[in-house]
Amino acid sequence: MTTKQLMKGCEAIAEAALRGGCRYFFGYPITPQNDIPEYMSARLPEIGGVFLQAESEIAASNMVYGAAGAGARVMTSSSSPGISLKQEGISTIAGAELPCVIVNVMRGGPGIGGIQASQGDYFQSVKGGGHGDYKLIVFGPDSVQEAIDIVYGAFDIADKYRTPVMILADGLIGQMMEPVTMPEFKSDEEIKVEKPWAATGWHEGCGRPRAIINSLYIEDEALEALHERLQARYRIIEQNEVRYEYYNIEDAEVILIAYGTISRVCRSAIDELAEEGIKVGMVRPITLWPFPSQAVLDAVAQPSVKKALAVEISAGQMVEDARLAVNGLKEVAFLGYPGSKIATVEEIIAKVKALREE
Amino acid sequence: MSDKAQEKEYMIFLGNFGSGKTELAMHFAMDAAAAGNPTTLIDLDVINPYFRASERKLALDKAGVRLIIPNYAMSNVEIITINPEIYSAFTAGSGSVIFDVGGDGLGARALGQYKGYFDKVPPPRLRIWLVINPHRPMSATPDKIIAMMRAIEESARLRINGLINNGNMSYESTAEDLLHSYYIVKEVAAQTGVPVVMTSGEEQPLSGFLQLAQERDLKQDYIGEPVFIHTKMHRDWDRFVKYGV
Repeated sequence: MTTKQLMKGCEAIAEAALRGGCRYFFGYPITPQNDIPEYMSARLPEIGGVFLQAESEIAASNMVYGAAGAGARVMTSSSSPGISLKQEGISTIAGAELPCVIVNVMRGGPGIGGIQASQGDYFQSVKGGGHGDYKLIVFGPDSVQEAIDIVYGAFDIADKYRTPVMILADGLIGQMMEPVTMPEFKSDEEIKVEKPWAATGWHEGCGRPRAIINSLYIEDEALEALHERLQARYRIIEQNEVRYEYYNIEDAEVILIAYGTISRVCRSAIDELAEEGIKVGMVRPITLWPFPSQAVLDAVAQPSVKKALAVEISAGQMVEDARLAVNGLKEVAFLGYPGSKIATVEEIIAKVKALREE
Repeated sequence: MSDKAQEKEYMIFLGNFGSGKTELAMHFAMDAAAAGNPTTLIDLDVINPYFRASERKLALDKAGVRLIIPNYAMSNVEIITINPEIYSAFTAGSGSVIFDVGGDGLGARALGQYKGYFDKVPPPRLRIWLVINPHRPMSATPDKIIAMMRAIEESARLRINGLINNGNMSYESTAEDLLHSYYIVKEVAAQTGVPVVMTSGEEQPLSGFLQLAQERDLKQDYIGEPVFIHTKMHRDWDRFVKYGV
């Protein structure tokens, strides 16, 4: 008997959030992330937290803004079209320098799209989404266990940088079941972070100025100061928070670049190609912003490498960051489908073989 | 409904989300078809967006199983609805009819409307089984399982008449996982009076468990029939696991 449990991605994300200190959840239903609010609605009251199904996505993200502004560890989740609806709130949260965790269990788009798994929200997540110059720290887990580990630590990272953190999981990560180990609940001491900026009630003699949560900067200088703070913070995040995994990159002829579930299909292809004596490696970005540009460049720049291939469940989004990282040094080809189809092991193998022969 | 309908055998798989209902329903459907019985598998899951029997339509067709899927399942519509073709399961004829029902009380609600038909089936031909995997957190203890069982019965408007120990950890399953489940399912059986009809698993964990059962002199009554299954819901991304994560 192990201490593992068999959990679905969405349930695991919800439980890991609670253990990481989340005490407030505001959301609105949409497939394929419904298991997260469903789970939260049962579990949060048990641990003295608050679950609330809002009247809309934008309402939910404004509730997150309020709770985060009061210093709470708060989360919301949705799937692609719902995340679009939340963007006004997300931009406001970033503009007010508030920490929170946002989970996007991606389905197909554009528009209402479809309920099948997708990675079509990469651009939206790492390049903005809402208006204005801001960034989210974005993670793309490839397994239920990795999703747990990331969500568990996400509230600490959000608090540390006063920045929203997004978990960008494709629908398969949300819906697949895997054996996992759940971390212990963080203690009250661990999750009680000093937040002198939080609006928790001011009174004469409390020893601090009034905490005002706002994303409207009336004076030009104030807005400029915000941007200086944000940009300085983003540079620090780029230095500290990049995460990625290398798989078999040594002496590889072709480097695959993939994140999320499709990276597992790539791994199967790499293993089968290795059996045929064809050396292929992979860079798997775990943070999508900050993107592991140096790691991608280092892998692709190896003398043994002829070409790189980005594989996604989209029409080609992350591939643009991979190409920026490689900066024309070598070709970065693309394989992927938007919509409800995902590349198979056989297709990846065929594409790698074709690239070698070009 | 004609009296001849009573010649059909019904097997209904109920349980919490992710207990293994679909795997077992597909196993028994393919088994029944292989034995030459006209077999219908009804995917009655109106909750899960992915990982459902409908995704295995080609394999089921090949095995000679007639599959009835909910309207809009496997499409991009979020609210799938009950297929009226399900009523054909209660018409005259022979063979096996297998229901793969959605998880928890919520999923079982879709079954409740057929109570009038099930009431006319002689009890020996109506197997209403609860699939239990105590490695799932929501069914980790006898208390949780019994509470869920009552919620399912209320929604389904049917009494569960058999328990299945399907204790597993997906691709990491071991004999010890089944052993742990044995004690929990045994407790459920003792408290509810519902018998354990089978213990199911892949070749390795199940044969290992049977060996342990013999060594430890576990009660056959709480093991039931051993049923070896071959997982059918695996997808491409599981393949790399054979080489280690």
